[in-house]
Amino acid sequence: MNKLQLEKKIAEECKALLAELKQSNQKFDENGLKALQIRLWEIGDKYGTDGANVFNICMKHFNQIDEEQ
Amino acid sequence: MLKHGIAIIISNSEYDDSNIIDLPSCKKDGEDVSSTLYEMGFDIIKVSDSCRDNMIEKIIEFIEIIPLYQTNFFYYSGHGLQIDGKNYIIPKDTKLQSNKDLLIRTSLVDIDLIINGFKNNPDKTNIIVLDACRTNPFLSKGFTNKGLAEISAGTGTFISYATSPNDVSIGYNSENLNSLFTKYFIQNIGKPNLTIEDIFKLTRIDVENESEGTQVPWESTSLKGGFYFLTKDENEINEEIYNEITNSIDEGSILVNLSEKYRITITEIYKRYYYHKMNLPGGIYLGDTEIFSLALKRILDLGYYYRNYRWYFRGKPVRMGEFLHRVPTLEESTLDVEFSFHTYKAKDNVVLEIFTNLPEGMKFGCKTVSPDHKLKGSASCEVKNRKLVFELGGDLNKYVEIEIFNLSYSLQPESVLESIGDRGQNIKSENSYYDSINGYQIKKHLIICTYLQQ
Repeated sequence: MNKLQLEKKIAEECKALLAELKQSNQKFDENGLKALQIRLWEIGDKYGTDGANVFNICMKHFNQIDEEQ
Repeated sequence: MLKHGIAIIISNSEYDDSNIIDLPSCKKDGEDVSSTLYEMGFDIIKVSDSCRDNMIEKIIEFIEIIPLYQTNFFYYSGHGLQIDGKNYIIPKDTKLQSNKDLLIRTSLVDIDLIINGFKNNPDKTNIIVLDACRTNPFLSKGFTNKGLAEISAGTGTFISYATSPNDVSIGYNSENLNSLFTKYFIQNIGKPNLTIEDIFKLTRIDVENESEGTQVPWESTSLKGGFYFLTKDENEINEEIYNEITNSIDEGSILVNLSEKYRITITEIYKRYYYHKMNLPGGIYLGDTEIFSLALKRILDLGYYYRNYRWYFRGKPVRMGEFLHRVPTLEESTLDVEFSFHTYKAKDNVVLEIFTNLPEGMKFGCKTVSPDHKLKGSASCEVKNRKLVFELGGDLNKYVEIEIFNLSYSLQPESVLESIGDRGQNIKSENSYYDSINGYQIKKHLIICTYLQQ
């Protein structure tokens, strides 16, 4: 897979992640950040990148992901 | 993994004869050298605490297999001795005896077995490492000297001794510690892209430093080409740096370790880290100056500090390198100072509120110019919620003239100094002036019509 294809795959995973976060009603506090960090890194490990980069991709495609939900 | 060498690792730590001192650290030496070389792509023949017959059998197995490999490595840790200029290994079942010939023929193992095996393969890379120069149990018998003798080997051979000829090396009475020479040998052999000569030079420096000059490792070489135990290309090194930093708990210490391992500065480590990260999916592109800005902030957060023109971490100097970070331009850093004021009556006094865009916590003084008026309360005040507050008393039926001025920069908090720059150099205002001793100073003259407050 090239980088663009990987990015699209990660964006799909982020869609699921955001849906999960919305349903869980997790507050945006220290515990929420830790939970988000763990999930981001899980996605990162799956695709050979790191959590921060997954977050970048998520924010880059955020509007599109939010609309589709 | 491609196997580029065969290694025979012999270590003897426990001896049957109670007159021969046990060497507990040799056990760990053998284990650690075996595992290190195995990870580097050597096939291993491991012999530990072995009797003479078994040892000779394994050495014969090793010599027979030498032609199949490019690199041949012999390591020994334990008791060894020299007799008439020749070196011998002492197996675990050796008995202390006075007859030299009997001892050689029945108990000891001649290192010449290995030397001759290597001589028959001069085109290979043959390496001998002897950590065997210990307190000689046979010294009292009169036919041996302390330490080992210098070996004469054929071409294509590199020989390393834990200490200089006829001298003694340091071991420890613990199974959990390596002997001094082997400890540093293992550390340095893991550094990539170093020739074998450089690895042993570094080992010599480390051993000599720790032993305060009493133990000086020795080498002799007739190798015909360059030999590297471990080579890594730039991408592998960058990936390793990235993984180490990402997975670290103590990032500050990891940076120092990486700097020593790869012999590069800490700024270079961060540069490689960010380059690798940028190239991963989702990575944001950063210019060099942005990378160095991020690295500088991270370094300061980790507890590194600059003193006497050197960088330190936990009290030890480090190789930091240059930070070629983005320096703010004059326009970006200049602060246009603004003032506006408001007064109101409070009991018999007038409260003067001066609104300003100067940084929170910046300290100002105030004095009345007209003699009929006095300040109530403190003559100094700091900016809070973007304003300064002073109280005035006296005859409030006249104009009041006051002057506000910033207190000396040595009295200002650090957060203020960061904003206003060194000696106020960022301040730009019609109300500021330059003083050669104190730098840029702010002074504002105000005339207030207090009688209008009635």
